[in-house]
Amino acid sequence: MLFSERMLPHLPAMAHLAARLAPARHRDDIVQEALSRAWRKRHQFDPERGSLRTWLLAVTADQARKATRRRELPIRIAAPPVDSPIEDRLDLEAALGKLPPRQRLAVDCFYFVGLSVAETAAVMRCAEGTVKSSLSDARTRLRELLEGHQ
Amino acid sequence: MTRDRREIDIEALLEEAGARWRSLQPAAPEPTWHEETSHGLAYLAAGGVAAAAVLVAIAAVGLLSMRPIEMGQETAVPGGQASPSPEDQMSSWVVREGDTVVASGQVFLRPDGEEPVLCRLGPVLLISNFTPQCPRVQVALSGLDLTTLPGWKQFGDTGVWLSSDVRVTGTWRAGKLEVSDVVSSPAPPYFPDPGVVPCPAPDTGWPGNGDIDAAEAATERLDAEIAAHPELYSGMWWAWIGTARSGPRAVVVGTTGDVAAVRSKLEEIYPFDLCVVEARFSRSELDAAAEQISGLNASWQVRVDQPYEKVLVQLVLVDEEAAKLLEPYREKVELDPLVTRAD
Repeated sequence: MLFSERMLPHLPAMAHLAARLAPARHRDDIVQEALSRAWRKRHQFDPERGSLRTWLLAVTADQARKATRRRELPIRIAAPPVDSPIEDRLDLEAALGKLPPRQRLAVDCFYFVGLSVAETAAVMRCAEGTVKSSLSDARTRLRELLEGHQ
Repeated sequence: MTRDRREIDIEALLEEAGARWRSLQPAAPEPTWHEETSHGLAYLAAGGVAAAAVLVAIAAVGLLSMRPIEMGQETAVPGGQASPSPEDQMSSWVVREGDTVVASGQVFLRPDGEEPVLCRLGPVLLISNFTPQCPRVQVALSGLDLTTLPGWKQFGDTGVWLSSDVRVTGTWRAGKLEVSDVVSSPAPPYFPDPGVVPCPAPDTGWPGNGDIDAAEAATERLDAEIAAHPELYSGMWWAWIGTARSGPRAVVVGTTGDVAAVRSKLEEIYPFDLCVVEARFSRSELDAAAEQISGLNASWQVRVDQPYEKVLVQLVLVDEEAAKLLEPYREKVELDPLVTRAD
């Protein structure tokens, strides 16, 4: 299968990641840049070092970071789900916003984008164990924050 | 294992919030692949709004020209003869009226029902309603029974009909290929293997490619250096260090300068697996030739790509006129005609 074709199944995950790490209005630009970059750098993809999906997600995360830096935008806080109780939305959103950046990134990737631990590790450029500990720390911190609001 | 009640609540809350968030996300954008540049694939957003973008056949907009040339690869020769020398290559390609010819690609029938053509459509991505088009290097076919074509089917609901990859044999007559035989014929890989790195291992062994961040940063610096000095370099590409196709790769750089001196300079920029080879022509020379050749005939597709040894000219076929036009460039040209003599 051609490289360009192989990238296509991963578009939804790339789009989710871009939307989670940068303002939604830049999502498509980020995905486009990530695809273009991945194609140009396709010779650097080494299947022995990880799956294509993981590599594409890492490229997408890089593009999201660059886009965020370039546009001097803060990392976006997820829009509250529209069909959840307003109190829950506000509490969770506020609590997520108070997480340290790495914990927030782990939560965004794992829970919101739906990545695996290994994929989250690729995006965060760290070991899987670090992701697990970040998620654990994030859950602990969120529990503290949310309980503090109750 | 008993889990902490409060942690279960937090995890469930996050999972629910995440699932809800994903369900609210709009569909992923569909990419639009477009004409390649010297650096590879350019990605176009329709006015910056990918929602308006459509997924297209890469080759439909001329991306056949992305197909790289293998290191040391000779262009196929009509009738499977031995590769001709540059001096006689041109004449060996010339197709004349009544010649028995062959061509490989996909048969393509437009919605308007005009006569079918054969072209190298390349990777068509069958997930959109985009209407594909053949690249301009295409040949009209006559005497073809479409119903017997391998893989003959409509492309989505576009009205375009396509065959699978076939090899067509027939007679060249009045600017068309009169078909006498059609057989299935797998297309060559769109991205051919780059081959084995054309350098011996350093005395101290290959240094490796470091971590991905360092390698990527160094690659960008190397890319910039080469782009800044087209009179000194022919280009850069990747090649396998060993025969395994899943092992390490090295960057190969072609230069018209002193190889040892260039290597020393580039090793400071790119302290990883690097191979510097002598190039016959610089990128400036190849680009200049490519520009001139492009101006000779608007139907040709001309590009310079790895291993940056020659200018690749893709054309329907080499007739007397094309051979005459290309003769002054024969040392710099690699021909890739769609139609070649079968004998």
